[in-house]
Amino acid sequence: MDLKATVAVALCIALLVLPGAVGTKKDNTFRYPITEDPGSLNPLFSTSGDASNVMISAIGYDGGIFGPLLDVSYEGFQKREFIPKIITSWEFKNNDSTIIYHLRNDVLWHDGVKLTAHDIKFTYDVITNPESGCVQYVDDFDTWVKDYRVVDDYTFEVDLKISDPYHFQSIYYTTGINLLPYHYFKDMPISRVGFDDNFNNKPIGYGPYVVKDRVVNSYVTLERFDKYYEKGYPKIDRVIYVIIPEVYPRWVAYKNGEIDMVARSNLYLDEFNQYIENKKMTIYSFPSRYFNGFRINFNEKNNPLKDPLVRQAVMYALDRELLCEVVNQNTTVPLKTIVTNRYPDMINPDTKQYPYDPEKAKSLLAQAGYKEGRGGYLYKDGRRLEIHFPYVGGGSQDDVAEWFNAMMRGVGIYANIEQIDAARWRQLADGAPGWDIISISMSQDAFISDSLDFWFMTDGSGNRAGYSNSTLDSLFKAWRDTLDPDEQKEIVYQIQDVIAEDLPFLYVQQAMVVRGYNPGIGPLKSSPWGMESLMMEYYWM
Amino acid sequence: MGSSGIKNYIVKRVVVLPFTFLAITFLVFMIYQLAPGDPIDFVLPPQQAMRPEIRERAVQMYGLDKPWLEQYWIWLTNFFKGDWGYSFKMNLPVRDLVVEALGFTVLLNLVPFITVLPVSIWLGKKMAVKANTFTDRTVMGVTLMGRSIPSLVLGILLIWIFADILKIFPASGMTSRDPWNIVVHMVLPMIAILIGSFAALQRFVRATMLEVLREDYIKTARSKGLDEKTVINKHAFRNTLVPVSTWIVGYISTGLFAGSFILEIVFSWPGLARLIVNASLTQDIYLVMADLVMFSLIGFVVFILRDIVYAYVDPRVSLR
Repeated sequence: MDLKATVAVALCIALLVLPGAVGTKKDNTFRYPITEDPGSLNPLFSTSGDASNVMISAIGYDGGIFGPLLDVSYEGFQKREFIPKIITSWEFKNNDSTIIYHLRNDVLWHDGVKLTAHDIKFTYDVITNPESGCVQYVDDFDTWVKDYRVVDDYTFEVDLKISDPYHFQSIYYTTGINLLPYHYFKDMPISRVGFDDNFNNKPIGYGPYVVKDRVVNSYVTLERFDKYYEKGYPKIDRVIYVIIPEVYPRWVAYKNGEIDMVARSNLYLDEFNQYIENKKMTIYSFPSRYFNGFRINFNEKNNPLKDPLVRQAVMYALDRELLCEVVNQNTTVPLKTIVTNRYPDMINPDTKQYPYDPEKAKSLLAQAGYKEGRGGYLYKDGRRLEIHFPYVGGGSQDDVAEWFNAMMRGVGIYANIEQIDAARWRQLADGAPGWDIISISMSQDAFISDSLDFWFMTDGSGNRAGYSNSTLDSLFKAWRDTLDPDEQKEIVYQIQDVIAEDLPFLYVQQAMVVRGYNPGIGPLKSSPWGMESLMMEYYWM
Repeated sequence: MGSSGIKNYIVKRVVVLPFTFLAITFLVFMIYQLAPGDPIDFVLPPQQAMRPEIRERAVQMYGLDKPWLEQYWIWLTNFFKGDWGYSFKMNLPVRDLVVEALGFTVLLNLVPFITVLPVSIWLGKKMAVKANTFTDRTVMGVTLMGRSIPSLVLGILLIWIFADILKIFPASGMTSRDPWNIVVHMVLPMIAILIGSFAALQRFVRATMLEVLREDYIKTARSKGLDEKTVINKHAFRNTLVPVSTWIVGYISTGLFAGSFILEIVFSWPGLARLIVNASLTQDIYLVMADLVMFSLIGFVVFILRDIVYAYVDPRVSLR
């Protein structure tokens, strides 16, 4: 047989035999794509960002390898209701400064040992002992936990540093953890708990799923734990986290049935929409916890943005609707205030708004003393109104920088956009000089003020940009001093007003998580914990 | 060359190895200290990364509170005890990560390594003899494309054709240790590696063979009345093997590994390249150091092998 014939025969065989290699059997397995390996699966020492959240925390809240001690009702944080899980009931004593938790007595670790209050105490020990090197939950425990003790195998007490008459934050912060098995670690020095290779790779948990197998940077397979304490659950036998870092292969993998879910991306937007129209995909869309905008450097001596009028002018000059619609293809929504759409009840409807209005921007700049000069740009004291905007190139950031440049040009501001690498950006974000404004992403948690004081309080740990506002400081302090939900809401309303007026941060948009699911899956519904919990609905239905 | 000559050569090279190892690792460690940023920033969630007291816990946990020379010394002594440190980013032992990833990289490169040699040498030789014919020009055109297309583009192209359009092969990475699952997920990256390596080697063999065919001793052989087959196989091809053999050892070993770097990412293959790229981006220094040591060792062995092969195939060369 000559070469051509051999090649032709080989191709025919391949075309006949190999299509079976693509796609998956419907074997009660959910295939979930993630972009990076979760690394260690020790819930207190996990360091791998999003992937790790998926693996431990987000799944954990509804039950993955680990699980929460209590759950929050799906109606959201506004109702402040807890659902019993491992903790069946709780009571307060000593003027609400001590909580007594009562545990179920039928919860098993994956190795068959019973979960007891000693496991909670051990986990608390790891969090509170600096020698462990644990960084998770430390801040919350520093704020809330004074002391703790085991009363009996199924009763645990926590003394609070702050008394909590409203019984929500204290419970939230003292139970929102994943436990470590005391019986496994008891003979190990606490400094080694984070370095146990076997546990980090295949931890012993107590959630509905057991780690069956993993290949780092390739996949992690979980299988249902038959002795899970909530009988009849989980409904799905197996979950495979498939690690696919690149966008296009991920989309092709979804189309071929190799994975059951895919996030929307601009790269394949048309085809994605066609899939929805043709009912080959069920779409779910939720506001993510992340929002972004422009951070201002108050340390920079000649930064024109130190003038609040200029900041307001820039805000009016930004066409945020356009940025969301054109640059981000509606994967983001404009922010009305510093509070994101995840917490609609907390958004102050009366906070000052900044619709796109270049004329208003120009008039504010004139009010700030700027006059038109050479090249159509604005000048003050012979100095051109110039904003130095370093940004990390690649993806939509290039487009954002170009649009920013054009929008600023429209009101007479010269935007000096400079492409930099990620390491340099990190230096700038940490307070290094050499910038007027940078694009930054922040996240917002259940207790909004806790997420904001970090950035905007004068002594906030994340406030490296030198911003200081005594009114805002007082509000953050007042928020900490009260646990009354209504008072807290009122303070968050005021915080929004002050930030909208003073604009230490030009809030632009909030990312929307838009995901397409295999139509055979569901029904799915949102949860206050965020998008990842969607998947867990699928488990339970 | 006698076996004692080779022994002496290997001994000399091995004596130099520890110094090379020290120089490379020290240099890399030092460069990482000078690089902007801090590995701890990649370990902690962004907000916590800025809280000094929490940050300090992580800094101490990974021993980053010590002077960098001391850190290097600790790493060095532990390395020889078999403890290669812990990955900051993944919080998993570096040795386990590297050993497993190396296995997958070798697996991916094994078939191309074995198949590319005979095919490209055979075709290179054949095309040199048929130089400037239609077949030769066609093959040259195809190999030029194979040599010119960047790995990234080639990888995406293969996914587009074989996964997106034809749906023959999967686009994602392996999802179990089942041999069939591994093989199916290996085919596309393997084809991409094969195309690049084959094109390079075939063109090199052809060019070398053409040069040899112009040599005086080939003309002499022909003028003596030897048949063309003998001239090509016995006189020309043997002499072609001298440069080709050294090139093969060097290029295929290092080139194959280097070529698979991008492909491992595109095809979600869990090899060394994925590890080293992620480690470099996140300043995961112990992981970078271990990867580097692996690649240096591979390079070291390959270059010794190349020199030995060279000495064997060309008697004019002696190893000193």
